Amino acid sequence: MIRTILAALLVVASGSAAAQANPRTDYVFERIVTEVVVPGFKSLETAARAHESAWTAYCTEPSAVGRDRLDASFHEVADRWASAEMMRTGPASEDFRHERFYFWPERKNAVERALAAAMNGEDGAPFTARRIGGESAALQGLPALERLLFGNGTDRPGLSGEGEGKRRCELGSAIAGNAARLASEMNSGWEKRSGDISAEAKASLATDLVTAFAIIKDTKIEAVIGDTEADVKPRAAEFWRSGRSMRDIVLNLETMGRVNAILFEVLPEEVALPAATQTAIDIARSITGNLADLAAGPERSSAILLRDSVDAAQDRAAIEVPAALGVTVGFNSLDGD
Amino acid sequence: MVIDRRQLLAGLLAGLCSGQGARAEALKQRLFISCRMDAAGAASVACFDAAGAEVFATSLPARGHDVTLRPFSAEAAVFARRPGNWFVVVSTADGRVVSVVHAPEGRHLYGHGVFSPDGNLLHVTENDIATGYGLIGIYDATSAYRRIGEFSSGGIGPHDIALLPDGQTLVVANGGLRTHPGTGRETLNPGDMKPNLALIDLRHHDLLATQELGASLRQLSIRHLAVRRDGLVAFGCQYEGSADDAPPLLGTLSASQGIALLEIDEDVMFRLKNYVGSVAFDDGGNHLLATSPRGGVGLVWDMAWGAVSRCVAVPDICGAAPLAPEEFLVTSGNAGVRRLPTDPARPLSAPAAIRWIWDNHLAVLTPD
Repeated sequence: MIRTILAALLVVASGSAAAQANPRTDYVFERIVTEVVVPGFKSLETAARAHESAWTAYCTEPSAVGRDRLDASFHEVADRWASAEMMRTGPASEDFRHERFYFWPERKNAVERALAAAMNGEDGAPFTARRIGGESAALQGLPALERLLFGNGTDRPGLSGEGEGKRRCELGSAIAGNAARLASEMNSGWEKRSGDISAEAKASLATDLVTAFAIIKDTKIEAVIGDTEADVKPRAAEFWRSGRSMRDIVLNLETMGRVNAILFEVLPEEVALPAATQTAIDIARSITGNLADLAAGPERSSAILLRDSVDAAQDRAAIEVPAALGVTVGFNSLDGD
Repeated sequence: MVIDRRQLLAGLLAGLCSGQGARAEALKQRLFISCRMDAAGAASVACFDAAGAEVFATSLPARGHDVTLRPFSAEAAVFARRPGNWFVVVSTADGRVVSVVHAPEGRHLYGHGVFSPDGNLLHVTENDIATGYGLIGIYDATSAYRRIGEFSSGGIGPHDIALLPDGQTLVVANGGLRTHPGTGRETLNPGDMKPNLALIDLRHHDLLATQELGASLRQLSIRHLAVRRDGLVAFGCQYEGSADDAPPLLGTLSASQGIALLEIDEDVMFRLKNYVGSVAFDDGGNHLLATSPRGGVGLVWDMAWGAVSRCVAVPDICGAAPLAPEEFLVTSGNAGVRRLPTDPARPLSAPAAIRWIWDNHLAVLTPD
C-alpha cells in the first residue's frame, strides 16, 4: 500500500515539475525562435514583397526579362516558405494565415475553381490585395500564383496583352500583394512576440517539429510514390507545375537540421534525431530530378529509401524533440478516434 | 491494449491527490471529467473545474477514452480506448475505484457507453471479434457490473452511443470500420464500409431503424454523438476516403426530418481535414461545437441561423463539453483546458492544466 501511494505521489510530483519554468528549455526555445523562426519569416516577407514588385513591374511593362524575374522571384518566395512553413504555431496559426498563404494539398480542384471564378466574375471590379484577402483561401497564396505563372507545367498562360492576359496579370499582382501582406503579418507577429516563454508555446513548437516529419513523409513523399510503381501520382507532388517538389523536401529537412543543432547543442549519447535527419537530407540531396519519375522507374528504391529515412527521423523526433523542450505533445491529431 | 486482470488491478491507483477542500469548493461550480496522459505516458482519469483546477485523479492501466455518468449515483464508467478490453468504474466523489470490469473472451470495447435512465444497466459498444459484428454489451451496475447480456448494435464498428430524452431509445453511431485486436486499430474493410445511425429500443433491444448517409458517403464513418434536450441528435464523422474529397462531416438526426447534413462553406470544411473528433451542444442547445484535432480547429454552428458562427484555431483540440449557454469547455493534447465562447468577439481563456495530454473526450460531471 505504501508503495502504491508513493507511486501515486511520484506521478503528481513529476507533473508539477513539468509545468514550471526551466531555464535550459527556455534557452533552447528562445534560440530556435531567434535563430530559425524569426529570420525565416523575415526572409519570407522580403521575398514576398519582391515577388509582389515583380508582378507590378511586369503588368505595367511586360517583357521577357520581366517574366524571368517573375519566375525567379516566385521560386525565391517558395524557397523561403519551404524553410519556414513547418512553424505553424503562433502568428501563422492566427487568422488561418498558414492555410491562406499555402493552400495545399489542394482538394476538389479548389484553386482552379477559385481562379476561374475570379476571372469570370461579372462585376469587372479591379483586383486588389484587400479583396483577395476576403476570398477563398484557395485564391490567396502560392498555389494560385504557381498556377497563374506555370499553368500545367508545360503550357504557360499568357500574362500580357489586352483582355484576358492583362486581367490575369492584375489578378496575379493582387494575389501576390495579399501573400506579401500575410507574410508581413506572420513576420511582425513573431517580431513583436512577448518575452514570456510558456509551456504551451514550447509544446506547440514541439508538435510542429514532430508533425513536420510526418507531413514530409505522408503528404510530400508517400502520396506521390504510392505503394507500387502503378500507384505513382505525379500530380500529388507539391509544386509539380513549377517542378520544385524535391527542392522543397530538401529545404524542409535542412530547416529541421538547423533546429536539431540548437535542440541538441550538447549531444546526449542516446539522441539519434540529428543523425537520422542528416541521413534524410543526404538522401534527398542525392535525388536529382523528379520524385514521381524516380518512383515510377528502375530506381524506385531510392524513393523508398528517402521515405524510410524521413520515417525513421519522425520516430526519433516524436521521442526526442518533446524531451529536449521539456514538454509533452498531443496525440489527438495523430491518432484520434 | 489487451490487459489481464492482474495487470489491470496493479495499474490502478485510486483517488490520488484527491483534495477534499478543493472538492467542497468545486461543488459550487460545474465539474468535468476526462482521460489524459502525462509526459511519461502514464494514463489517468481526472476531475477538474472550468479553470483546470484538479479535484481528483485516478490512474488507469492504459489510455482511456470516454467517460459516462451513472444516474442517481456518484459513479462514472471510464472506458478503455479501442480495442481495449476493460472499463473501470470510479467514484465521482473522490476518484476511488469502485469496480474493474473485463470484456469477456471474444469481445473488445470501442470506448463509449451509456447507462439506462435508472442507472441500473450500463450499455457498452463492443466488437464480436470472430465475426466483426457490432454489439452492445449489457452490464448490471447493481451487481458489481456483471455482464448479463448483449444485443446487436445494428452495424459494424459501433463507436459512440447515447440515450434519447424519451429514456427508451438508444442511438448508436455504427462507424462501419471493422478492426481486430490482432491488427490493432487498422481498418480491415476500407472499401466495404456501411456506416449507419441505429435506433434501438432499450427494453426489448429491437432495432427500430437504421439511417445511412447514402451510397456516395459510404466511407464517411459516423463516430460521435451529442443529444439535445428536445431529442435532436447531432453527429460528427471521420472520412476514410481520398484526401482529395471534402465530404460533409456533420449532421443531425430528428424524428421529423430524418438525417440532415450541415451545409458548411468549403473553405471551412477544408480546415477540418476530413475529421471531427467530438461534438457537443452548449446549454440550451443553440450552438453545436465540433472539434477537429487534425485541423486544429473548433467550429461552432449556430443552430437557429444554420450557419457557422465561429471557427477558431486550437492545436490538437478534441474534448468538448457544455460549460454554459453560449460557452464550451475544450481540451487539447498540447494546449490544455480552455473556455470557448460561441461569440467570436469573446476570446478563448488562457490555457490551463497544459502539462497533461488531454485525451479525446470531455464529459460534464456535475449538471449544476
